[in-house]
Amino acid sequence: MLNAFLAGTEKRAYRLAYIATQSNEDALDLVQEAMMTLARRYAERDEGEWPLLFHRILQNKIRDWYRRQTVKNKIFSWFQGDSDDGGNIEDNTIDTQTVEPERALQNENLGKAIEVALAKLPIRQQQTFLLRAWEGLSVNETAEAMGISIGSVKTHYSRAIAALRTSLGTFYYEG
Amino acid sequence: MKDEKAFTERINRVLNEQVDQFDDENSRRLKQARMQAVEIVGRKHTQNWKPVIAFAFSILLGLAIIVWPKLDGFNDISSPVEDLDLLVADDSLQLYEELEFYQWLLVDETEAG
Repeated sequence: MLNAFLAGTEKRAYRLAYIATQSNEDALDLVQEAMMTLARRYAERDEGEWPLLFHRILQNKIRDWYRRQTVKNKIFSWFQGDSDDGGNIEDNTIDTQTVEPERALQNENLGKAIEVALAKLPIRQQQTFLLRAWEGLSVNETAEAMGISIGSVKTHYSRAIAALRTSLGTFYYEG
Repeated sequence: MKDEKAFTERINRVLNEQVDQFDDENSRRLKQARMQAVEIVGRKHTQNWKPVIAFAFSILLGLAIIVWPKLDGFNDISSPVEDLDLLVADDSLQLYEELEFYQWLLVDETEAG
């Protein structure tokens, strides 16, 4: 039962983690850890609860990963003598992208453009958008999975839409 | 709102295509991770039975320690198989055949004594 659930979830979970981390290894690690946690702690729970529990675990893992990266970046900046103090989870993203979405669009690489646009979103906007729009979670479920309030989900989602509309302008108005 | 829905659907379509075009190496690694997770559940089920088995065994052991000494008396009683051997033995049959002789001998000794 758990095997079937995880088999149906793992690839999408990987995409969620990959968009957040922009690292194949980190994304695989996060999904593996989430699977282990679900199996260890919640395998006895009703199957119907697994999807939301799994999302919640994965979001916690992503958030922990993000915090570790922020600390690493801060230490790295400190040694580099950079005055940039990293930032917080609400407002900053890991700046691993060098390709601009508009440029990728010009190359007709829509998949890459979307990936870049999503990667550039602040982590909470990004994950809120993916959980709501792609995974189809309700506002309440998204709030529970992310451990934030319903109001925050609505705010992050609308900001994500606005940012994506700006990044993917051409794509947005295409039919 | 309608535009927004169409926009998110287009993004979803692209993300779904990316999931469909998943590469073999990552698929293999995810499957491996999944198998490890499923194995944990299997181990947990086995571990769940361990205390029950240990408890049942200790109860049986306790019962055996309490009841065994009381059964010692029964151990003195010959088993039916041994009884059968006695009954089947030739000398026993001879004893029964000559029972009258032994009775006469007993009476004779009593009178003489």
